[in-house]
Amino acid sequence: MDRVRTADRTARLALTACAVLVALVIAAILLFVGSEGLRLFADVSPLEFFFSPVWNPPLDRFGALPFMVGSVVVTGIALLISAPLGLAGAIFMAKIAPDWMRTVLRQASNLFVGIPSVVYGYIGMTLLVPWVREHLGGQGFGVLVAGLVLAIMVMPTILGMSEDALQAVDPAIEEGSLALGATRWQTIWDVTLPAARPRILAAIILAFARAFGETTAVQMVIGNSPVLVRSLTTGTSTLTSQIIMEMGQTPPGSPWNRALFMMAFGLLAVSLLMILLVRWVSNRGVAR
Amino acid sequence: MAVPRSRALLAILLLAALVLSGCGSRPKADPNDPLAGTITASGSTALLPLASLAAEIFMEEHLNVTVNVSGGGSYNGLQQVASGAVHIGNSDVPATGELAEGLVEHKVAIAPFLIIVHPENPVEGLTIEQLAAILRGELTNWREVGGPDLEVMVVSRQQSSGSRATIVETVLGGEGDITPQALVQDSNGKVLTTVQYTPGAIGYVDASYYRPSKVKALALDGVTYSQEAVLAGQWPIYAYEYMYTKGEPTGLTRAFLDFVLSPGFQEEYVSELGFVPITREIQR
Repeated sequence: MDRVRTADRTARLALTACAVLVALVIAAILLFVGSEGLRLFADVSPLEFFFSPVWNPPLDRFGALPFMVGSVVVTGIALLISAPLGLAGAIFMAKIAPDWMRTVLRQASNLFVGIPSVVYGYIGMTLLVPWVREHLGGQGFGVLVAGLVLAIMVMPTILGMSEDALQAVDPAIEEGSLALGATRWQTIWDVTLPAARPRILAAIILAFARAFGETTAVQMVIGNSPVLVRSLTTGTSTLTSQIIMEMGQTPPGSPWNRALFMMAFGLLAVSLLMILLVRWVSNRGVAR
Repeated sequence: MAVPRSRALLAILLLAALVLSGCGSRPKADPNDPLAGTITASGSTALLPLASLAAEIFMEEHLNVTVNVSGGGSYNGLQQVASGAVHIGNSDVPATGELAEGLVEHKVAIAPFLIIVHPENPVEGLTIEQLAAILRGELTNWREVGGPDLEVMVVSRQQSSGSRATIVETVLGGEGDITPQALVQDSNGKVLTTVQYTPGAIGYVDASYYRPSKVKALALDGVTYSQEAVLAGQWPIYAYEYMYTKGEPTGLTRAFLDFVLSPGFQEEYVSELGFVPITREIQR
């Protein structure tokens, strides 16, 4: 009896320690990135960092606006393409496709998740960039190709989670709608979709977070020019791509290095915000 | 599966034997060699192939010595040698400001840069003034320098790159900057690939990365690139590669640097890697 209790206690202690360790690591990352980043403002005014479009660290110009705008625009394009497509695909898979097709499609979309981002970037660089340059002009590198690549990358997230959301809708209300004489389309549009809305929104927000934080694939096709977006097909840069381009070669402790940390802190803040938003949206759904 | 377990085991054992046999290839220590110990070097990736090769040969000659070389970038190399974390800091750029205090510089090679364009670009050469105007973003069409009606696309390196600093200094004369509209790639290899696949592209790479089968190198002020042109003082774009030590080097570090700078190593290996030996003088 005693031995069982000791084992029990030890196990509980070990598991608690693991959980505490994970929490500590996350807190440490936040603290480190935050403190390094915020120290930038000892040398550079926040006004310049957030609102100046000129990034030229050797000349002490630390305007990060082009990267923030770049990140938002690229993610926006990605969601504009992937959200309608992903949602339409989810409706088809959940409500229209026969069982065998659903199985095949689900496996296919899961495959996408396993592809490393450098592969997406490479395909974007060698196929999409030249194609866009020849047919739409410009440099080819830019937010359009980056948005397209990201759209493909986040599609499985939207598709999979939306399909689950649609499947989870209580069949009773759909049957009720059909029994009242609504067509299949009316039922999907007016009953199923609104009922699944919170979880579909959560899927799109998660896709946003994923696209916003994607680095390698974007860096390979965005052009990495530290200037504000001028057109869909000319080079610009994003928060993530700029960090990966310069982090390794800036002296630690310099304002330049800290500006990059500040950008990383911004990314961290945005993804935390997104997670909170997902929780808020899903909780709201339950209450209704 | 279909393979019998014993045969699979045999295959694994053979593989293990192969892997392990690699470990034994280094002969035993030489008791008569006074040089012994470990030195570490880190920094510039442009200099990395040269430093690694030097380390390899040096270790073959001195069996009691280990030389560890790693990359990380010029600034990192300078930072680490200044803080005493490594014995030698490799850099493409001279140390400046606070970082330079207490550091002793050793020029170990000359690194020429080439201006490369898409292989189908008919333009054969530019003057330095034309090149500067293109890099600054003032000339935006190849027509303006005698080429076809094709938009210029400058491919550059990130602002923390030593190569970029060299171009700004030697081609732009330190005045102005490479156009911010330029595409930016974070390595010589990526610049080469981008230029190779983009009509209208122009970029710069270390001579050691130039591949004539992929891109075309431009003549500058009528001079075609060659080692001789560099040595004759006719090739305008080159930089020095540095190995920094904290204070005057002593002992093993001294011996390694002497080896890197020895005429034997310089003449035989340095030019093979695309650099110009530091032992030869550039005519001024």
